[in-house]
Amino acid sequence: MRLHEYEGKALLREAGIEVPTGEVVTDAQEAARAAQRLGLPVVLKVQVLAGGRGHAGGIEVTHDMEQTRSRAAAMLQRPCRGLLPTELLVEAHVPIAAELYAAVTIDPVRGAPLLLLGAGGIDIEAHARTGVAPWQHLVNPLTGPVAADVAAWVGGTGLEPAGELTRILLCLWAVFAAQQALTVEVNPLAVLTDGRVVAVDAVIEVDDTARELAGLPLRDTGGGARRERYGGMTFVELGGDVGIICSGAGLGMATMDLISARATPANFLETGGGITRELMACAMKRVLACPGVRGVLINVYGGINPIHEGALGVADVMAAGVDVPVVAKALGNHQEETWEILQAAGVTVVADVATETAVKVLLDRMQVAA
Amino acid sequence: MSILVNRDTRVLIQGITGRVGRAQTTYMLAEGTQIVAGVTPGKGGTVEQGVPVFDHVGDAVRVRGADMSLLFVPPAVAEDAVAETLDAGIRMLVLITEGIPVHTTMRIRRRVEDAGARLVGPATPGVITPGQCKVGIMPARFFTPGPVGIVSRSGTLSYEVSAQLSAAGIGQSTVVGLGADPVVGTDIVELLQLFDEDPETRVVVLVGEVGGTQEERAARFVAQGMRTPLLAYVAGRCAVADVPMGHAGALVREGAGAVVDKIAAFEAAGVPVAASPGCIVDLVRRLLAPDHASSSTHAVVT
Repeated sequence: MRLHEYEGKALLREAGIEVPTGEVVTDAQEAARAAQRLGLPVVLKVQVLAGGRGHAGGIEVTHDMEQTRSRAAAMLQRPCRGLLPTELLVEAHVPIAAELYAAVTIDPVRGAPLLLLGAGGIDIEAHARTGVAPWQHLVNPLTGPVAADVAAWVGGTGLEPAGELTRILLCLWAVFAAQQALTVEVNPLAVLTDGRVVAVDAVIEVDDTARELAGLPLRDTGGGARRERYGGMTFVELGGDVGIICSGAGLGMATMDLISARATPANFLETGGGITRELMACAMKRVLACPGVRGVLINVYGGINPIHEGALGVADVMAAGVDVPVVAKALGNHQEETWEILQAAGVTVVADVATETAVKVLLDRMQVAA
Repeated sequence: MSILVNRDTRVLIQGITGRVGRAQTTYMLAEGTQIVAGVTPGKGGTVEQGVPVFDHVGDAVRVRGADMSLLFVPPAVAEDAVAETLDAGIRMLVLITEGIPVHTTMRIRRRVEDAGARLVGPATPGVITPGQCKVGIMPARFFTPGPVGIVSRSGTLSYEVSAQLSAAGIGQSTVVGLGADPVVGTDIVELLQLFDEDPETRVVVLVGEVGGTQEERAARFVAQGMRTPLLAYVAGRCAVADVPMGHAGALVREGAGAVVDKIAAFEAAGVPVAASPGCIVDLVRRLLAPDHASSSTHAVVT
């Protein structure tokens, strides 16, 4: 889950990193009043959970009250990167002498956290392509970064002010660890004309799994495909007419790929490894609630999942009346018992081991052209 | 031969008396897996399906001896369980648990590395050497002994591919699930190396999916001289690549991992790519054909 810029900046400030003074507003009048309090010029920044706001017109500098009011009104009415903002961050403009980049992220290949420091600005990826990638410092996840090692590494980069940059990187680590973040990124990390170092942006993404384990809520990020979670299963509505219930994300994607050759999936649904009667009933109901769904394919394996118990949940929903074809390929432990339950409930059971066959049976039943 | 597990592997099961642990123990025993002990704190001294249960891993190892541990433990205690296993001297672990936060997994992985051990998972179906040993949750009926090694990012897709191969009369040497989480204990390239060193694995199938860089790195390994023929399937053509937030992810992860890029990497390395799971069987059959075998350094001499 990604945090808004202003939420991220609050965390950075608490951790001891300076950020520009600012206020979050929801309309143009408030923006103008905030500008008056902060002192002009100000920077208006739309609060949407997407990167590349600068290139997409989501960040503007304004120099007087009327301009602030009119630009704020325009920015609040216009989608940025496909997302309509409801909030603007109004910030005091800071005089920047140099733009740096600092981050803590995860290196999935080495399986360890990584500190990054380098040249910043909005063309950071272009820097990387041309060989000006940030310097990297791998961290032992059991101990966290050792201050003296970080200082020596920062010293080796030649970037200044080295002492302050070292302190800021250790503060970023504190946020990364406390939030169980996947990424804590500041770009630009601005060195001001008076020598202060200020975080002008903040991108923080936290680990959904850690939040779920801690019982904390997840937030809709406002993107196109909305991801929903129910008791370990993942659901995304996709707008087509073929409903899908799969155990495992890989099998789910393979199934979607096969369906997409002839039709459009209504959804993606991955049950996870915790199938129960209730979970499968919930899955069926959610898929059947997709507007326009004309058929459902159940593609599950009984490995860790008790599919014979899940079949009872499917039967519960079928008993309430389902007026679209439901085809199931359910294989593995207790498959025969599962088939009996599903067949008795009016589900077409495909005993073949190939998903291709099950997809064909359903699409033929739905009279989708081959 | 095989990789990671065989008929001599002595397996310890942590969480053997839980709902999942107990059911899976039944299935593994039916496959002939040597389950020598179980561990559930507070259940020491009891017996589960003929397997003695201990309170501590150390006691289980001392009394029964074990080469390998299979862990069915809740996410909140996974790190402690792994630490206890390593302290007891076990150097091969399979962690089935789903839902472990990635910060915890990084610490687990570092503990495993510091101990010089190997971890498969988390969020893996485990490892099976058909006909010899199953250390995991995969439904054994779809697996048959044979010459094809499979490494899969997805658990259930590895069942599907094995089932289709078995139905076509083609068996598997060992099937390994990498684990579905962003950080896992054993890298895809390490598994390809192990398969490459196994004389009985004549073809390796890589089952990949959108996102990450595993497929790209596998393609590089092939280009650097993997001798056993590799073929690949990549799920998620129609899915949007999970674009990492901010630049940090993209910088470190070398791109977003779109399926088209992965397929291009494989094709550049000369790795055949199956268009769908069903196409894997034909490609494997072709790679197993005598003219292919004769050009391989792993030609089977009879």
